[in-house]
Amino acid sequence: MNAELLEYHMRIKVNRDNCTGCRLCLQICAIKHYGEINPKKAALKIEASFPSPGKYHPRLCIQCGKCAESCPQKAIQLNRAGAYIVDKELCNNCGICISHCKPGVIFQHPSLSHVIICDLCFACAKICNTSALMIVDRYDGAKKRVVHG
Amino acid sequence: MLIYLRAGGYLRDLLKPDIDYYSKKIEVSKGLAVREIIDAIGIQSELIAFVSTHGNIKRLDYVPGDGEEITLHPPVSGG
Amino acid sequence: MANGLAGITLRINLTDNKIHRLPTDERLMREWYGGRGIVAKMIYDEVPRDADPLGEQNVLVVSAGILSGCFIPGGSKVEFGSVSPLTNLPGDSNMGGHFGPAIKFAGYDLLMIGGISKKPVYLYIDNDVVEIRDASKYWGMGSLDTESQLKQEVGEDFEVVTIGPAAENGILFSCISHDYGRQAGRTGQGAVMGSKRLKAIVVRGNRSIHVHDLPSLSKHVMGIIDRTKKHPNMIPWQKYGTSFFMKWSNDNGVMPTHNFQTTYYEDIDKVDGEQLVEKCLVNHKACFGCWMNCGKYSKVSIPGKPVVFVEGPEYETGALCGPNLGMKDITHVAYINWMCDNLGMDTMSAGGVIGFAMECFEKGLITESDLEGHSLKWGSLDDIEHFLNMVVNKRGMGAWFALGTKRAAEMIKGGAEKFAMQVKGQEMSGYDGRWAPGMALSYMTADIGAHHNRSWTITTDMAEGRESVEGRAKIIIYLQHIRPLFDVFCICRLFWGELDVTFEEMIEALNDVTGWDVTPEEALKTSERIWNLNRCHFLERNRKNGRDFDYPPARTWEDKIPTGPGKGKGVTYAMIERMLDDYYAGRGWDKQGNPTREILEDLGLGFAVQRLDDIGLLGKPIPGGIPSVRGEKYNPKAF
Repeated sequence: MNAELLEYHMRIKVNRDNCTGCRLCLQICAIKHYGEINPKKAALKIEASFPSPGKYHPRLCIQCGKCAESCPQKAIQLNRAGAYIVDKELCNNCGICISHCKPGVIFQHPSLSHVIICDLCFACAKICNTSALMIVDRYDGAKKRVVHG
Repeated sequence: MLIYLRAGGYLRDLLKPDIDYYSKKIEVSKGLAVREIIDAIGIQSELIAFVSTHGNIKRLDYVPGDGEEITLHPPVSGG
Repeated sequence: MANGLAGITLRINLTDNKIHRLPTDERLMREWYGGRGIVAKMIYDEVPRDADPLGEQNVLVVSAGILSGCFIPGGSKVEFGSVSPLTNLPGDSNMGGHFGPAIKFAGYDLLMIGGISKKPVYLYIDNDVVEIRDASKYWGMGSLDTESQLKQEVGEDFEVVTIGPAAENGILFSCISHDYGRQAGRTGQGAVMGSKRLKAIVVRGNRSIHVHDLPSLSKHVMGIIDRTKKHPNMIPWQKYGTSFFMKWSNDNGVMPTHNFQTTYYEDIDKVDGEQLVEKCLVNHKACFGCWMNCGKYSKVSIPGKPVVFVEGPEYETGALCGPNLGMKDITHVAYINWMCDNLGMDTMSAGGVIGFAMECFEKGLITESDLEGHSLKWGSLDDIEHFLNMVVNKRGMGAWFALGTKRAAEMIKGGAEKFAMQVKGQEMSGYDGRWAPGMALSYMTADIGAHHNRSWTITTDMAEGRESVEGRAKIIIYLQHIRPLFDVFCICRLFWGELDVTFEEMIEALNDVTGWDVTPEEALKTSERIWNLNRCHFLERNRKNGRDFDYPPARTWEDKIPTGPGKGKGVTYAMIERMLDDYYAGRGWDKQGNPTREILEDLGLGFAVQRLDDIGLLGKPIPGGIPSVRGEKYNPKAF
């Protein structure tokens, strides 16, 4: 495999047990993509199950492609890195993709005229200090699927 | 034998690192506990809450081995 | 506005159910910075000096602070304040978690809650929608249970604060709870909320917080993140939280043991931080924007008791509900923590109250017939559970203890006042000051009653001499200016202070957010102004010389430490007097502890001069004038 293609194998692995609920991932995602401090403009979400068992659950795009398949505007296209990218001009915010998204990780926001889908920029995994979000090679060097997507 | 002491904050000011921003190399006799080593270099050992080595927490009665890196941790002033 | 402010202040009157939205007063924020600063100013201006803290005229101020939610490390705090029913002084308490940021993301900086509701209510905030809703079905429910049920009703993505039965029943040291483990604990803010029949506040918002210079802020913050992740102190801090320092306190003879009778606990190994992580830990829990995740969420399984989950115990709870009560099992300490959390009472004051009651029982000042046939023995979880039940429901003598140790001691008599370990009505923190005179002075002079958050000096006392008071007061004055700034800006001191992020960097971040031109000197002076404003407010309410309130309980100077490393040590009355004299002189106050005209005018508090003069409490002029600088910066890293 040449070096360039290897890059495109990187994905984000969620280690649920490590998540502490700090929401730095949400903050950096919105800052990076929209230049604003607003966790509701992030392309991922953190759910929590308290008081018991007392765990956090980061919910992240798994690059399954169901959104792209379902989009009537063909506004969601796979890029070379394996991320599904929303064309902001073509997207009319109809939300049909959301009903097809099983993990529930496509978001809308009143200030935007398009949906928010993770573009695999890895900023969240880089800022995470507990490896709850980790950058991994989906093939793990052995051509085996390590992480879905 | 040589050991390495590492500290941040005001302990770092007292330690006066010489290798990098946080670390200092010192020559010590074998068999001395951390408390004695620290007292001997003129830092009050009471100012240190505990130490760590290889990520493991040790108390001040820990006896370091040759070449070991010991990180000094101050108490936290309240929460 | 791109200055870190959300833009709207809400004024809510629960007597007539009126909600007013007003633009946040930027000029006022520039002057007082928000958080603890705005709380002090608003209660000074709006609460009549003879108002009952549990009455209609007290105002509960909720300030989400300039830096809360602004991508600042530790930028998670919210400040609650009102006139404290526990101390009859200006009271404030801050809380981490996610509530402060949520208020700002919903569009609000400040909530001013006044009046008293006829029925139990909760405040519902969802962006522009602000409603006062019926909370009758939650009244009587535990804090933690209420949060859980409310989230099921309104949505799991709401941030919630609640009170428990303790606050509903007016227990004076009750707290406000949030996120299954964070509290605004001190000064009885819960009791104020309960007196208004406000059971909870729920908030959700999807707005952005606009800051003045996000690229510059981002750059600074990412630099701080990178640096602090490599800091030597990061890992054990993250892994163990604050309870890990209990052993150090014990080894150095400052651990409150058996109601501060002594300062060394033989059974520390059964109740310290290592035990907590080993036996109970389920998950690390963080506040908004903080990767230190100092919260230690624990599962507690004790045979014969329900399995419970609790965040903690952290140092203070670990100390005051551990060695202070003679506990011999970390799971029992964690259970006490849970009881206090769900009942909604400050674990620190609760530890102080229980410890005091245990000593009263030990000395025969209270007996089993006062305790419904139960004993109250050191280390007995069952005894504590029953006692807390009496207190929360104000049954029999429980009603006395519900008022805090000071008032309980006054009623019990028999010399109990000597060992009611409190100042101005608030119970001490988890450090004994007899072999750390700076700590004793810290308790004596903290503006909300005994507390360590304003100034903490154990290592300073070690470095400067644990049996000397030389130069101590000036150091404490400086700490009392710099440390509360975290409560003013609503960021967490633990992150900044322990990981070598400097005060200058904090001010730089503040200016990135606000576009203001704050300097470290201005910030310190503003903090000093807040301190003096609170002192004036306190004098006006209590109408006696400040000095009358600044003494610790007699145990401090009468009882030398009996055992452990500190055996035989103790401060003398002369040392206490000397420290107070040095402190007042250092602050520009007169010998009676009253601020002088000169200091008030220097701090822009001229409006307070006449008010103090009218009641005869304006400080007499100091020969030679006030010090030009108040407080001495002892340690550049001392936060």
